Amino acid sequence: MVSFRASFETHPDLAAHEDLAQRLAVRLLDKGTRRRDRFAFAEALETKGATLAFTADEHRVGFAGRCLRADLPAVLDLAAEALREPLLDAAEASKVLTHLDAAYRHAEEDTAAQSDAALSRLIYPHGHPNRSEPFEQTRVALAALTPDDARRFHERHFRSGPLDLVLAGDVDGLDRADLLDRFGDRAAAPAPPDVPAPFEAVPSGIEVCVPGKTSYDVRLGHAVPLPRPHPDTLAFRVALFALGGNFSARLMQTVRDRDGLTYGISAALDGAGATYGGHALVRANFSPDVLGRGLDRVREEVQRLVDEGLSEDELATVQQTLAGTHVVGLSTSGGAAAAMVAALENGLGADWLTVYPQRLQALTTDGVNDVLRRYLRPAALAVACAGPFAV
Amino acid sequence: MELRPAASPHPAFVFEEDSGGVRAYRHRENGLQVLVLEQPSSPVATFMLTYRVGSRNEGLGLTGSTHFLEHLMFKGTERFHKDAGTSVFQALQRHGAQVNATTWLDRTNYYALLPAGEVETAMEIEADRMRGLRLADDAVTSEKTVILNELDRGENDPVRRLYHLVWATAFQAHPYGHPTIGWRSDVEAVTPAALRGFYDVFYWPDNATATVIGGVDEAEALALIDRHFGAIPKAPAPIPEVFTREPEQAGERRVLLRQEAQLGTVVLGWKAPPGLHDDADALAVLALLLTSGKASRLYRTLVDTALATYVGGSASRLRDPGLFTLYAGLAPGKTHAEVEDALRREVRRVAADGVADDELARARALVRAHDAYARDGAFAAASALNEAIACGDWRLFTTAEERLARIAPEDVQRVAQTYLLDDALTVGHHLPD
Repeated sequence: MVSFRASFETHPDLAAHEDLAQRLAVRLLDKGTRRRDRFAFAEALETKGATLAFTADEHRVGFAGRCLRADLPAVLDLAAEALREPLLDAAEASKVLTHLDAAYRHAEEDTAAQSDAALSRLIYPHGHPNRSEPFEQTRVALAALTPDDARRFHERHFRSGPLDLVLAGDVDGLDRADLLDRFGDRAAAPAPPDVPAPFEAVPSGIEVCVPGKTSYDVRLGHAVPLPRPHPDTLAFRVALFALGGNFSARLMQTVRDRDGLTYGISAALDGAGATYGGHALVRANFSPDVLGRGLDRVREEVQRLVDEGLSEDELATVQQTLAGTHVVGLSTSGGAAAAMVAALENGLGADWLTVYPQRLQALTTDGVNDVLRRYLRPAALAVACAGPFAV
Repeated sequence: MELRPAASPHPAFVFEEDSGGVRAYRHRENGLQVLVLEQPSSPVATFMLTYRVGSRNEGLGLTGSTHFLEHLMFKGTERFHKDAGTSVFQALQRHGAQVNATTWLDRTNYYALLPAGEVETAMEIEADRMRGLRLADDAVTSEKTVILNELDRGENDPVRRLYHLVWATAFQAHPYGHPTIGWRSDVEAVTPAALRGFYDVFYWPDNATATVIGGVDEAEALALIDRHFGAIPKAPAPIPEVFTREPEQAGERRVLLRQEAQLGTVVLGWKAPPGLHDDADALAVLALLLTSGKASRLYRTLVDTALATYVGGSASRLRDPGLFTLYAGLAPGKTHAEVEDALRREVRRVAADGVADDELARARALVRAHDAYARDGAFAAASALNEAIACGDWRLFTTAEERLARIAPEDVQRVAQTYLLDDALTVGHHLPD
């Protein structure tokens, strides 16, 4: 079998809601092409047991899937056909808009989605790729979209930018040039837009009421000016892994295992892209009777990490853990394809999967703790809570 | 002529069977079953221990015990515990392992996916905590609030709550009627002594299957398993049987859930035979034809028409009779009656008109491809084997393609006529306030 993953840059104008036009266009790609209707398209895939899903984010459009090796040319033909010759039909657009509206209604009722989005608005201004506008506003913007918006976006953006295609699995002997040919000639990549700076990190808070819920999702975070290729980024990610990267990390060992305050809690550098930074993020869920105590314990652990830093043993454990995680992550064809595409999209280079273990092992305790203390500021953490208020 | 059994690569084990590349052994002394699937070029391996105990084995007042015990198993043993810096997670995750456990109706499984050279650590831990669990009172107290938070998180989701309600309404005698996480009051009231009792009844080698998949040598894996599990004795008493049988349902049942939300959900559940029943494969095909992919019948009639935003369903494959379920999320402006009618209309259409050959060909292609996908890496096959073990026969995983080849369109129509009857149906509606 073969797993495949591909993407190309589109850079929708976020301030003008072009990302919604892009989303509509992408959702329409498998809803009929000039060669076959939507059911024939689905049949062509499913009679092979193949999967093919089109994706979109704030910078790129892509597709991913898997199939038996013998079917790969035919499945990539379908992907190319959908990208190059979609019908973008008005009746289908109406249905897709109904489904998108429903998806945002569900998100409005989802405490995890609401807390993620609320924190993003405390950290990032309008037009930033990491900002999520209130879901009800997005629904209003969606309602104003027309099939022509999707057609215009497709016309302008789907043929520009080189297509990165990664194949993993049973790939020996495949003719790469032939596989890429079907996607046609592509123009140079569009220039990425300027990304507005995040807000100055100041402690702030927001509460989102989601009626009828029985627990709270909580997010704490602040902006960190570290794009993925920055030389300090790996050390910072390692430090946050020690805080909340897995069950053995500090937050799970204390707030869950010792104190019994939560089922799940984690920390990571989130949202960092190829050219702009992201934010330090702690995610947790608390039942109503322990929400205050839980938040206090999170703050204490973040402060303790900065005060104490990582010990030599702790860093060595994290290095060993992440080196093993790297091996495990690449052990499926889907995992390998995803890791390679992520490395390319994040500006880390095609050799990242090889150099990553070496960079990881080269980290020192002093170096990691220096980066940690330069970039993590417990007093500047913004807090977003979503649940059945009032607290 | 006397048939000689195939030789076992290790004297502590009897070779039982080879199917689809998976080789089965049983420990001569303690009855531990071992399944091995070698993937010689893989740099990783999965070690999984599946106990044949799930929420099916819980009595009144003890619901959630299996799941609670699963959590406590991570509190460790005298050798593997947090105070010594050798907790189960610390010992395994330091190698980059993906570690976890899950509890379901018929089984509990503990697994680690890790670099192949470290697989012995996972075996050592599972053997040690099979009989050596430290089950301290304060651990039960602190873990209780963790589980109650897990329960609260689940209750946030009305679809999950409705699904529980449909099973609880359909099963009034059999323990499949209570959720695996347990009823809240039982979780709050459970005692360390009750959990210790549960552990001492079910956590024995002859009630478990060890599965090893990945870049390991079979003989070496068996030697390691014997080294760590070999000295553990068999259960001192027979593992208790579950005798309860659900009485025949004699009429449609309906259940409503009111929970604040914007869009509702419909769940339909028909009584279905056990997973090893002769009709289980045809029902699985029927579920595929109805719900799998954008060419499926329910996608075409509900999602493509903007009546629903999603559809799904499955034929449960369990030890005892379960449910054949279909569900759909209402699109804005649509009613529960419209969506329920559409789901039931499609079911009646299969029963009346049958299915086409090309639909069956699509199902076969899906199963064939999924078999290949399950052998990509060292975890997917373990996950599939886990459910087959729980159902009662691990070969359900290895023989899926050949069994499906024997299913004819008439079989699919017949099982729709036999099982998807109004009198055997439980209907659930989530009504957003």
